[in-house]
Amino acid sequence: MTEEQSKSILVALGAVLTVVFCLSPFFYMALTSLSRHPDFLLPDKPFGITFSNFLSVICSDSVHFMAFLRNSLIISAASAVISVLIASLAAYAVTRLPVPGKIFLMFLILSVSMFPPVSLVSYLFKLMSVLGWVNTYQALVFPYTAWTLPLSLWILVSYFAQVPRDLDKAGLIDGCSRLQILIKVIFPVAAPGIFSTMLLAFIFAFNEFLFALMLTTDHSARTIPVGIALFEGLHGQIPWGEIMAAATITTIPVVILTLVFQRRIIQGLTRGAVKG
Amino acid sequence: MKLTLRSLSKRFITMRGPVDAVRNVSLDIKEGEFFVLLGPSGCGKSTLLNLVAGLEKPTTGEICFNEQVVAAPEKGIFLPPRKRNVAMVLQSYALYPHLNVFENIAFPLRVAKEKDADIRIAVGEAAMMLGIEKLLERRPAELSGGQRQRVSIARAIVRRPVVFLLDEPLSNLDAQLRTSTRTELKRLQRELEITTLYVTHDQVEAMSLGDRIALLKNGALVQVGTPEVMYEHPKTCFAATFIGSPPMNLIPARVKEEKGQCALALGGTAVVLPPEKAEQVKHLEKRRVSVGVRPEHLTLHNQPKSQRLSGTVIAIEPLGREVLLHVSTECGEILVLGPEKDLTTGDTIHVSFDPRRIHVFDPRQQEAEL
Repeated sequence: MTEEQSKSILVALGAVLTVVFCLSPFFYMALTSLSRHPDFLLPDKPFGITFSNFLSVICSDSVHFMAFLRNSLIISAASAVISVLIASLAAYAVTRLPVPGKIFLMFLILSVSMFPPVSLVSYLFKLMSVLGWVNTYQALVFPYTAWTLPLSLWILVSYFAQVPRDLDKAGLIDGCSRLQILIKVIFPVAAPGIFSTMLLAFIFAFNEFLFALMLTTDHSARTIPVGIALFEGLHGQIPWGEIMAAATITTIPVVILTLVFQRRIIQGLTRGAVKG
Repeated sequence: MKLTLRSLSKRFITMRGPVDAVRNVSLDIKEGEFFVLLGPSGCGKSTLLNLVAGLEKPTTGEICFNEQVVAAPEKGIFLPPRKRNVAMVLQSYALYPHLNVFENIAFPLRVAKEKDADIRIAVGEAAMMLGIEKLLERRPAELSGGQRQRVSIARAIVRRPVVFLLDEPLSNLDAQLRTSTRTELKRLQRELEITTLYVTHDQVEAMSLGDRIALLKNGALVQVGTPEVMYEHPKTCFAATFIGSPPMNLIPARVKEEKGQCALALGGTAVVLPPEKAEQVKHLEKRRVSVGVRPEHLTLHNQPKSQRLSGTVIAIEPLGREVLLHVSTECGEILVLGPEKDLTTGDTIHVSFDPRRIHVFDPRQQEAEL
């Protein structure tokens, strides 16, 4: 065996280990959701494949799983879209216009996301109470948007910086205003970047737990992470099978989104913009 | 359209202090003229083009399209590019990668909200003019460099701009394509009769394309004139060496009197000047000067004689029809272009000057230029 071969085998082994390490909890989660007995690893328990966990999660009225899922999707999507819209205007200004002290501004914005959420949540609750927004979508959409803005801005700045300046020049010469350049030129060219930024913001909002726990009171605005965590309160014992079924369903939208966005990346839209 | 620049200056404020990219440039560009801005990189020629386009605001001065002032900072006037109806072709082509060729060419018309039918006709005409009708469905990524450049030119001419601005449009093409595109650009410009401002660092391009050339250095104009004038009557050493290939020889010399006539002392060799040249250099008498003479205006001889500079051939570059000789003389290395093919390195030869084709430069002027 040559050195070359042994190297590539080592690399492959590393990759396999990483994948196993990352995916085994999900695998165990999926297995548990399909088993009649959550403790199927014990010697005297048979696996007993079943879809009853999924059926009871989806169909049961008392669980409200579908309501949680809908809330999560709407709140996360709204937060991601608003966050990326605002961040892209800011990113255009940072990358294209002579803004004085832009580096300082960028770090100031970044520092917003450095407060521990716990330190904010009680004030946020007070604010939402005053506004009468507790247990509404906007109670979560606004904090999530604010919370993901720095992240979106920083990612978009790096993507926008890669869009050749000559395209801006061409756009200006061809009669565009600055906003038209952003919409007609930079958005489509940086589309993969915008997609991935939106996806990251979406996943952040989709997974957020603390704010959702504090700012919602029932299934009219409660999101999935909180919903699943509170499953145990509904029955006498912890319904592991149903929790795992709910968690499995929850990962599906994220997986789909990731696949979609990957295809956008591969399209490599920026090719052929300028020479080369 | 007539284009007038009056005392135009542009100063950039950078981290390392202010940089004067354009200094007090005044130009009158005639209607339908093919005007070339020539100079080494960093001489401010692209900045000048951006000022005309409206991509940069001048620091002082005035730009007029015909009688209309489009930029005059002292008067607070500045029209953005979309109000100037200029078209620009960039070195990088800057095609919109997400649009196909048709939509790329149609882009300025779409932005101007023209009717769909009109757009189709205009794009068809522009594509025809550049021979890219068959590529309209393709994406820029699927085109070769030359095709991309044609698309960007089509996009520029599609809406009949008042000024056509080209920023080193041929620099990314290979040598053969560059020559043919050059010819085509010239033809296109004649056909459309658009006032054209063309930026290049390539003097061959400038000479072959320009009705007139403006030579720039460090943001300031060195000389403006037709290609013939630039070639035959360079004003400074810089103009002399920048235009023409191989470059003009600059030989240190001294102006002196020789048997009652005005002459140039090149080391031990004296070259007597004809009366009209003598008139021009009389005021430089007894001073050090630079003598400029083009390699093609030197003649080689086998025999030494008065007024001939002797030297040794140190290198021979065959250029096809002619050979370029590097000759080491007592006045330094000089280049001679000639048909002599039977010389070898180490040969001693004698070079004579055509006194009518000698240029005399005052080195003090050259220092002032730097």
